[in-house]
Amino acid sequence: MNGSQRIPILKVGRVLVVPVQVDMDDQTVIGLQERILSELERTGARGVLIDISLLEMVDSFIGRMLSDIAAMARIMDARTVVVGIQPAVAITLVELGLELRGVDTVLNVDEGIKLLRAEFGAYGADDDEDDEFQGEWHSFGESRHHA
Amino acid sequence: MESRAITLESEHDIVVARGEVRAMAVALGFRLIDQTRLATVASELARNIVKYAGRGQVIAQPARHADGREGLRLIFEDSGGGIPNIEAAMRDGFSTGRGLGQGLPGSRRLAHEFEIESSAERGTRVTVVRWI
Amino acid sequence: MPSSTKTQISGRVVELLSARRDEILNIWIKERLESEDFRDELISKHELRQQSQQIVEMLARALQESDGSDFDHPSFDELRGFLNEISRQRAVKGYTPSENATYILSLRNVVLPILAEDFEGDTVTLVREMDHFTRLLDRMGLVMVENFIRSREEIIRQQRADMLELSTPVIKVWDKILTLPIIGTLDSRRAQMMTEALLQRIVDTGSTVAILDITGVRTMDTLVANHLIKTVTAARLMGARCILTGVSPSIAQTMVQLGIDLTEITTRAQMSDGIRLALEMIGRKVVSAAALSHLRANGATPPAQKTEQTKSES
Ligand SMILES: Nc1ncnc2c1ncn2[C@@H]1O[C@H](COP(=O)(O)OP(=O)(O)O)[C@@H](O)[C@H]1O
Ligand SMILES: [Mg+2]
Repeated sequence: MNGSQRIPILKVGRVLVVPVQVDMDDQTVIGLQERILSELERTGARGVLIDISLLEMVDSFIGRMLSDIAAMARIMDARTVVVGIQPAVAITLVELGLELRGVDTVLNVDEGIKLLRAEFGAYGADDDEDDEFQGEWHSFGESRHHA
Repeated sequence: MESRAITLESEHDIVVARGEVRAMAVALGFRLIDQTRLATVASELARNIVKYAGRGQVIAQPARHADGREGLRLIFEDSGGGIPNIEAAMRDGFSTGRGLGQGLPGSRRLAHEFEIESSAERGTRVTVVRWI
Repeated sequence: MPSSTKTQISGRVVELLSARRDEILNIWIKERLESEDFRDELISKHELRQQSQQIVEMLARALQESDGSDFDHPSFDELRGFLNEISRQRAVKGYTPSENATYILSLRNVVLPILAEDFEGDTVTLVREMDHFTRLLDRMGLVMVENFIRSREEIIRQQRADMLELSTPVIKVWDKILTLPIIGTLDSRRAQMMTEALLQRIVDTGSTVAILDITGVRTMDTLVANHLIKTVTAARLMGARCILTGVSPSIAQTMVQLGIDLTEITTRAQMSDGIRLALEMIGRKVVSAAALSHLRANGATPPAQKTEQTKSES
């Protein structure tokens, strides 16, 4: 048992959703990484969506975890998407010298699901017909996502 | 505002240090982006102490620039084994501990002033200042 | 027994300041109004009189409560605070630094003749009192100058910030697409503000593409280029892609000469090309109306419009 147990790992369709809402110490970071990988193995999920929009700071230790998870998940044939890096955190990361190469980053959960769905259909075979048009046809007016 | 000294000897102290530094930055009126920079520097340099020197402390003190601006000075000090080659340690990507090697060079970029002294006898002291 | 070597002001001067207050005030104000420094568009006579009266009264009070040898003594707090406030107001109103300092220093020319009158026959005391009083006024003048400059710097900083905001207009051109036309010279501060403004707008609008147009950038150097790269990288970390447009041949040349690696940044010659690419990136395409009606005729009606039609029919 470690601090990472406080962070839920939810399986939604074929995606593991991980909302990180606490400032993690290093052991928690390591614990979380291990749990995500074992959940990937156990569930056969194809995607990992790590939501860090509530994190006020990402240092090189957390940055390293994100890169490592992405690399290891890829070996397990799963794609990792990091969601919601805040402007202040993004600028700080760049100045620190971390570019999180190899990690896909998206603005919000919607964009994350869209990206994973484009890859393999995030929710599995139960996608309805309308969803198949997603990304293929857009009207010229406002967005019709989640209409 | 009072200066604060935070003992660094366990991983948990790293979290405490970055939290305290952020709180002081908030109280001094730093903008969100600078609060984030300072908290990140605190996290990196506090971790270096816990990881490479075993124990030490960080002193956080309000500072005032000659031009009147306020700022925050952070002094990280330990009496560990020191850094044999400071020039190498300041390079991006250099690590003896299988880290990313961004802690020292990154902290220098995130601060306005950066000073490092290190010797095998007296340990390491890193001083950073960021002005508002 | 008071020591004569210390810089202190005798009770007699304090008495003079109180007893002949109105006389001092009248002469001081008259002197001010007649001086070249006085600009009645900046301060009314009434206001000048009020301020001057308060200064003389506060000075008398402070001297009563201390021996006047130490301007940092708490008894001078009230006066110091008031001088600070006046200087700040004057900085805001646009006085020059010398106008501001002369105001306080001119009190010397008013008080010294009165002292001379009062101490007639006792030259030694007169010279000493004059010296002490002059020193005190110098300290007051210094407070005025220091605070005036500090206030002015603050004003300039504020104006700069206002200008910076105006000069970094992030415009939403389409759902999920932002543009940032960069115009003029980018110094490090402005570049930083620009980056922050753009990233915040990305979050606020949920935009996934940002077009940075540098048509209006006159000179390119390493600092500017590095800032562009930093902005693009930070935006990418947040989940937005940047397109750099308006790179003139000469700027492209400079960049290559500076050894700046732009291979990771998507560039397009014109802003319009950038917008077209941005639309493609969010899964839209610009087609002519004729081509669209052709598509419709062939039955490829988009589902969104299908729903709209059913709605209008029912
Ligand atoms: N307080 C310290 N005491 C001893 N060695 C240190 C200390 N801080 C940093 N170092 C040395 O400097 C190197 C670079 O540090 P840093 O840039 O933070 O990268 P990292 O921690 O990822 O290795 C470390 O690998 C270590 O060898
Ligand atoms: Mg480190």
